[in-house]
Amino acid sequence: MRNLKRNSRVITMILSVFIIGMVVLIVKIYKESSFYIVNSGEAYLGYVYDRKGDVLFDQNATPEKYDVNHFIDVGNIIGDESPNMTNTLVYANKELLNNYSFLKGAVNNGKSAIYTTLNHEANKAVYNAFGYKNGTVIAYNYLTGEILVCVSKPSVNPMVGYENLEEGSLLCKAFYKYVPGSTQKIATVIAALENLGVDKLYNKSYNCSGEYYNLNNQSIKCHKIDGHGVQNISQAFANSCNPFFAQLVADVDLPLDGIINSYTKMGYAVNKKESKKNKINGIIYNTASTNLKDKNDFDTQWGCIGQGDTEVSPCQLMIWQSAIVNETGISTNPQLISYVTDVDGNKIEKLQTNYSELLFSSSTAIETKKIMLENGLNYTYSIPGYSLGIKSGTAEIKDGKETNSFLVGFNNDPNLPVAFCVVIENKLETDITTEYLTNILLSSLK
Amino acid sequence: MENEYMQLMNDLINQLTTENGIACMLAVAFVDLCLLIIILKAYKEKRINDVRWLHEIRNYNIEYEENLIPLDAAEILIGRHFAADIKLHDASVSRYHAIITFFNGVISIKDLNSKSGIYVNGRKVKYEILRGNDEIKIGNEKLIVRRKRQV
Amino acid sequence: MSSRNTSISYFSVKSIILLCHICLLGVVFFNGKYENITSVLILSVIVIATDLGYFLLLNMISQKTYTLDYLMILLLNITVIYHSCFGGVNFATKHYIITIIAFLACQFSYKFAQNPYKLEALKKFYYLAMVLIILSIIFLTGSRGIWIDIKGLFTIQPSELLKPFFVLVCATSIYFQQEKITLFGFRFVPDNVILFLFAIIILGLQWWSRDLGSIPTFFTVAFCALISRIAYPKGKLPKNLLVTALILILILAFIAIMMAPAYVKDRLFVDIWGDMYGNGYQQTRALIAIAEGGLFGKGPGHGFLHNVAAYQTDIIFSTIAEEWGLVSVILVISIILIMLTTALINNPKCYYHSTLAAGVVAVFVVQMSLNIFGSCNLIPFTGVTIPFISEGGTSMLTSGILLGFLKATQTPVFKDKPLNRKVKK
Repeated sequence: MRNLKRNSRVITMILSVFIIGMVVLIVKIYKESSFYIVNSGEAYLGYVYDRKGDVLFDQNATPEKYDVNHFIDVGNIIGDESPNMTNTLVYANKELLNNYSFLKGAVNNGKSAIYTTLNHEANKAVYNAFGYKNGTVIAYNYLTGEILVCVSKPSVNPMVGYENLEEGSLLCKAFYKYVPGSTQKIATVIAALENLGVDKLYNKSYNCSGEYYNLNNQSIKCHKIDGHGVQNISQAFANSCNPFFAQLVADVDLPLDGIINSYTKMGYAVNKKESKKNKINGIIYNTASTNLKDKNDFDTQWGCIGQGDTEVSPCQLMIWQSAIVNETGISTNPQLISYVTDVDGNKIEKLQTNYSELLFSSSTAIETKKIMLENGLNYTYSIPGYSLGIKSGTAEIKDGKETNSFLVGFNNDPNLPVAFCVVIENKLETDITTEYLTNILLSSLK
Repeated sequence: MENEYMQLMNDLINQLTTENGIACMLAVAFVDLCLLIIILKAYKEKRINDVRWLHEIRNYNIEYEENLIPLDAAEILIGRHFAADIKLHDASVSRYHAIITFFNGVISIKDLNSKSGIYVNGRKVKYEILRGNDEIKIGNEKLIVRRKRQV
Repeated sequence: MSSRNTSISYFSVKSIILLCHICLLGVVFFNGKYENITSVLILSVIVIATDLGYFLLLNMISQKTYTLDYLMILLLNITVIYHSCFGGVNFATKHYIITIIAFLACQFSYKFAQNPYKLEALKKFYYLAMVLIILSIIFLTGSRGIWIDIKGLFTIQPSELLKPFFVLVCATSIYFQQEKITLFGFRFVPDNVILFLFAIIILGLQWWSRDLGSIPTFFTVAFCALISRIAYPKGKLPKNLLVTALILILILAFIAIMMAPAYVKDRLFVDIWGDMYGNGYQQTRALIAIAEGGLFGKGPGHGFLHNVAAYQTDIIFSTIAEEWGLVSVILVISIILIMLTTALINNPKCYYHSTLAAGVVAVFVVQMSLNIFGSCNLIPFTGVTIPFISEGGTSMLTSGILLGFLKATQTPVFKDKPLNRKVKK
């Protein structure tokens, strides 16, 4: 009796374990079924649109449906479902585009889609304006975080294919680090303001005679051979004067730890092996890194001026602008997806503006904004019609054989709240200018 | 949450109203019905089997301390061990004292090499066939074989 | 004693089973992929004829329990329909013949297993049979394969045939457990020791012949045997023995896995999505097929999984889920579960049958778990078959025999003359 009952209990236990296992299995299959379909190579993927409904990705794109160069400007950021470019919007969000639900099965005309924040018209205009030059442009709305333009040349045309591509076509270079050139001075100004405060910084003035010998007797040359004479911070910023900034960094009132602290708060990886990477809707982007060892050393001083070991991504440069122009020291996080529709067409996952932590104090932001706006006045001729805060930069790469030209800034107008970073690679005298690209950018976004 | 639930129900109903869905639901319903009916038959069979078993053991029960313990199994262990079917707690009872078996139509009791042995109707035995109203002494405990009248 | 009217009418059961099969055939007819309607007609005629044949057979044999038989008929013909539709409506002749053999085997083993005393008395013969089978495994199949090829016509898997005998040997009656002998100052039941040795030999054999799927099955049955015996030995030794035995086994298993040859490690630790066209091919395709099938399947014959190896044995769960839907395959699994729960509903009255039932349930459940969870990547993938549903002659035969045992446990017979059991006076 008792023993028979014990055997019944053994049987019951065995059966219950099995039933529990089956329940776990069914739940697992239900949850992961979309993932299986996506990996089966037979998924019906939906479309990706720009903010006005223009198609940026079509799984069955043919030259009959679209102009042959329709997708080339977004090739390496929107991408497609093939594993050739894994750091693109489509590849990173395949499951959102999958027209499948376990109850329905694979739906032929499903309405799964991603509506991005990009402005395809502006994107195409900027892409075409590059002409035969390479580089990258990224611009976003610093109030909402919507990325409006993201161009990286050379790019890839998904309709044509992946053969015989120029090097760098498969990357969106806005998300990879460059040597920033003089645009680095923005970060140094912020570090100085954070550590010295407005008044003390403005009381600092140094002389530029064309060349500065630091305490280690190394020479920091200015781009103006005769020098700029005595300047304060705002003037030096506008002049992009290297000796001024070298002396500022070497100044005893500005401790190296203070600079490192401010840089780290902004997001730099200082004296570290790897820099941080963040994500925009699944796309990974690099931030910034540098090595600062000795404030009286050539490399460290150049690191704060714009060469040395410093590297920043154009995306990160753009993000800092929002912290400056918003006068808060808090940057707006960029986002690429405006909203997503599921297989029935219902809106899910709408964009919600979110912000970073405090990168620098709001008084620093206000002052930096003033400095940049003052510098922006120098561009009213080349970029007319806007109230811009600007910093330009020229970075030497490949041992001085090539230079990249940068233009970073913001439009101080809540009706066109754009922060941007423009990079032209291997800029020569006769080429287009970053100001030209900025003009095209802003006028097409109006 | 509610929206998701409504969506799920909608999806389900849409699936069900396709041809395939209806045919499959019908098959599923029939199989479920079949299983249900078979389970009910199993219970009926169980009842019949119980009756048959009672008939086979001639409705014998063991009376112990005013309780009637039915003979529910073909082998019933008597002793002090916790796994015994009839647990006797007296110290004079061995852990495995005796076993009542139903074998070849015969209900019998057998001594399992116990210390104090078993006494049926006063006689010490190793093995004895049981009949109604037999008195079994195990250690200091007394068990009586009773035959329950069928109502 | 007044005789009661103890007959139950099974007419409703028979008609519902027929209706179920007709319904499924209807699904095949409306949704199936077939070139010629004659194939559907042939299938329908044969299935319904077999149903009626089984009913007739059952009418002629008088038994005390029919539930398992009817469940078996329901299940077997459903699997015949399923197997006939993989990839296109055809008739699965081999599977059909095997199902008939399984049904007959079930009837025979039922008759054989009804008297628990007789069963127990024949234990020596079970050991002998197992020794013969083990010898045949060692000499005929070798360490590379697990099948014996007979004239190219069909294959036998001898390790499957071990299972019924092992289950019979693992079952025990209380009386048997009390018959101890004293050797070297230890009191023990000789049967237990021999069983323990056999279990080790069989597990070692499975390891040697690379049939890793059967190891958990035999292990679980042996474990059930252990549980059913530990209540009886005298003294406290057994409980500690059990604990030390468990720990030893776990350590052994751990060492075995760590020291396993590459072939085993490959199968045990596979990232199937990272290796979709290599080691993970079967499982990924199986999962994709289940997802594509959805709730109600693509329709009989419309599946693609029949192009993948082992679609009728190892990943049969997904093959059915792809063509008939997740709902159908779960229903079929629950038919087997209901078969096993009849052992709970109708309790066997004697300990031998009760432990026999536990052994049968263990075999069925462990095999089902290994197959289903393995093919869906919850546990490592092993090549075990689901009883009755997978295709495989020996597997079907063994399942039929085991089901016969289960049937017998519900209506034990105590009045037969025993062979050679002596009652010590």
